[in-house]
Amino acid sequence: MSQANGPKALRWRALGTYVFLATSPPAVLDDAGRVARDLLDIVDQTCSRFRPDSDLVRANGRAGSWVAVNPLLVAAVGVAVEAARETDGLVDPCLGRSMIHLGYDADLGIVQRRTDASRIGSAPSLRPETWREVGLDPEGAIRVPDGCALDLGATGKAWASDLVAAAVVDRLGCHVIVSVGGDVTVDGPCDSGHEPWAVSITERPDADDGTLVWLAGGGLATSSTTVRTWSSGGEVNHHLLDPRTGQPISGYWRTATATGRTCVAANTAATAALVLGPDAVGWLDERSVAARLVAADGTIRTVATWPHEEPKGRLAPRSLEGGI
Amino acid sequence: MTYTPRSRDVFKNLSAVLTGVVTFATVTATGAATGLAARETALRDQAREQEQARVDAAAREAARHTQTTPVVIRQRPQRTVVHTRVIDAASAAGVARVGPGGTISGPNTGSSAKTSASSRASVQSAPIPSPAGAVAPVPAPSSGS
Repeated sequence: MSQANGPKALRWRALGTYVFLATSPPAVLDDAGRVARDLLDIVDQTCSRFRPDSDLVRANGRAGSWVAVNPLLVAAVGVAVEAARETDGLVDPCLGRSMIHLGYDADLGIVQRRTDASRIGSAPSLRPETWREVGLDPEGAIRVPDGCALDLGATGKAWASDLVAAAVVDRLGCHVIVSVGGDVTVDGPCDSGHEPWAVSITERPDADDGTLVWLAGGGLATSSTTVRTWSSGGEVNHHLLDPRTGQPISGYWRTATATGRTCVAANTAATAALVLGPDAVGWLDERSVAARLVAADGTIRTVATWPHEEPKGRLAPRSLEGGI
Repeated sequence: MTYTPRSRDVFKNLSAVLTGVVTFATVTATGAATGLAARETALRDQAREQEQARVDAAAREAARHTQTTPVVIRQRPQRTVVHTRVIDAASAAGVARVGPGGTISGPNTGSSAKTSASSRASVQSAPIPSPAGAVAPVPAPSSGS
């Protein structure tokens, strides 16, 4: 882990993405970092779709049967199923086979380095609301629906962010901000207030033209079609699939940032908005979700109580590229 | 030899002498043996004591040697134990409910309003300016990934 100069924060990589952590007071940052690193290791061991030894891979390999797993995976899948229920399936954990068919069958770095990659197998048939058939036993077992493979990409990072923040507060009693791949959680002891934390919103991790906002509590999540991309079958794909078709979403909005009581709620809203396309603004407004949407042509649209932004012109148009 | 009173007495006396001699010899032998055993026991005890003394001395020397050896502190591997209550809190019913929350403000409304962490759904009031000389925190990143 590396520390930034000046005000303290920790940055490292886990779950295939970047992690950012800061605490108040800064004196407990190293302890918080240990808690976070250990917890994310456990999440990776249980919930990764790419580790052959993970509980998720083992459960996916025996779809249709009950499989004993770490209760942590049961909790993660339970959250993913709730997100599906909350959005009537717009956010769906049962897209693993569609992902694999499109070529996303390994860590993204490996997938992106492939040349002349082709689609894998035939397109899986889609059963509506397969997520309702997921079996969950909190004592430590899940049943993946027959013919299905679970993928927790839609909620996993956000849930990990909430989990890390809760663990740090529980262990150290401090205020904390965590970002796992852009999914941000602010948390702290219930009986004390704290200055809002600064959050820089960009479309890509390497961008330096961020929009700065301040988050006092809860969650904020950014999802984008412009980063996690790869080529297969002569086409450029990205990781956000429309559950209704099993194909990458059309890209009416290319990036969405939303807030929520938890980071999972924020990420669920952001992902649903991207899937909904032109219907996203009304859907978010009905639910009073503060959000910021970037259209395919770079136009920015804010929703509900999102802070006013001084117009700085459209963001540069982007086309899908095969890789970061 | 004809057994006569004289011979009887002689015999008796001789027997007594012999007995006494034997007895004496026995006693002497026993005593000698006892004494010898006692001596041997004493020698063994002495040897045992000397051996114990050597062992004790060696132990004291070893302790002195240990005390003069630099102490090396080794960090034990630490493991984080996550309480069930933490997992339950992050995974409770309703965590995925889409709705208001995540109180947010922008550059036009300032950056340092104090608010209670329990009022996450409330609209933020006008902020208090940051104290002069306050160090701005490093912003947390939120991007596609």
